[in-house]
Amino acid sequence: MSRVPHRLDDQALAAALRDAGRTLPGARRDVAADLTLAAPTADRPRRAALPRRSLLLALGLLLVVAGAAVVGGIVPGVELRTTQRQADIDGPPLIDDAVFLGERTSLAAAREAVDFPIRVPVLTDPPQVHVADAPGGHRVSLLYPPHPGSPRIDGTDAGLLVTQFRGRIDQAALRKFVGPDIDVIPVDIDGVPGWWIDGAHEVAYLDPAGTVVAERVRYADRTLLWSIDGVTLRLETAATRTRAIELATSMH
Amino acid sequence: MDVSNERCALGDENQLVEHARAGDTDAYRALVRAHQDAAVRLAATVAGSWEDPEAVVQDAFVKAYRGLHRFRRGAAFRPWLFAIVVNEAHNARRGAQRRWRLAERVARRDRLHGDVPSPERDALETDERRQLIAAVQRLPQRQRDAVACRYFLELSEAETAEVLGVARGTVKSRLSRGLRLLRDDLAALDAPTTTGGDRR
Repeated sequence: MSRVPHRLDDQALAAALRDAGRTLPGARRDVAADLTLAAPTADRPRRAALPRRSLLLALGLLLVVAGAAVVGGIVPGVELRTTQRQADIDGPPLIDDAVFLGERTSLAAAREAVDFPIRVPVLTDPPQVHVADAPGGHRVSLLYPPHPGSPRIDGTDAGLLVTQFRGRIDQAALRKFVGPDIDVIPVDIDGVPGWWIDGAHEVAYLDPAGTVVAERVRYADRTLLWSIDGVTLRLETAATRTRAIELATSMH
Repeated sequence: MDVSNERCALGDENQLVEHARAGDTDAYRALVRAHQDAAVRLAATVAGSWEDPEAVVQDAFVKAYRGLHRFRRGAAFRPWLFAIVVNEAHNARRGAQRRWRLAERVARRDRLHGDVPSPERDALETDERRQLIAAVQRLPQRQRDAVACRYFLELSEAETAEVLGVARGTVKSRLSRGLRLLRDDLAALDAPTTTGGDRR
């Protein structure tokens, strides 16, 4: 190996780069064959996400009359925002972790698919909703963009991640995975006991069968953990503990 | 290259795009398959050695499919597609770096899954070509993207500009700076009493 790249002039270095680049292997599998493709936006028949009950009653007639034009939940002639706009379902995911998050879907579809009531924090932006299979049922993830009080979570484009699934929190298992150097602070969320994990960690859950299910390698930073009626809720945020508890309390 | 062949190829590609936009997923697969090798090489360089480039490209291709309605009819497909691949590779690298940083902070070896890649290991590559590729992967994002497009994928300056969404002059200056930084990096590796330098 007689040539020393750092002594080459621009032209020669460029040639060396092209030469090196050609040794880069191409795809080791047929990526095109493995794609999961839903029908593109324009052609996908979409049931409009249902507006909240009181609005639906008032607009029942209008929805029937509008028919196919209600796609996306915007009724022409009436400035109505439903809980999930078409554009929200098709924008890029706020966190790139398809394995953990699962399928992207609408809140209405998730409510239908999942066998526990999905709790949603009171926030202006509608969430990006994902549903994944979890032992004992489903795991629902709600992602929100950054907003005042909830800054961007490092490594993502999200300001908030709320995860829900059937399971209970085993304090001993929680301790074991979090480690002694991170504060695990017991908190109270409107009468419900929970834990605030104040640093980078991996969280372990017990599924309904009682098996420890560890997260994949997506380290969480600060997380609020609590459990209501056999459903564990997890709120991951870069905000303060106070703000996290506020958001958790607002969930219904 | 035979101009008439190239024109035929472009015509076919435009047709595939139209079919794909109409919901023909097979047409889409054929469309992206023609670019997947280059896309993987691009992702491998931009995302660095921490990520599985096929997975990055797969995510990018799915996103591109969803965004097909935004693709301007008659425009060149490849640079549009590669821009999405580059973006996805950036995300992957940020995610991977965050894991790496958190892993360092926490420093619990039993929690790490398998082999954690290290920038230091790259510096030990003895093969000159691989050393050069590793050096490109260590460049700052802007220079890395430009070098990857222009020299690894051998895109024209104009196409590189389109992929990166910048002016041609910007491509020129990023390449120029990239080459300079590469020389410095490789010189540091060669020097007898080097510490390798800290790129973070």
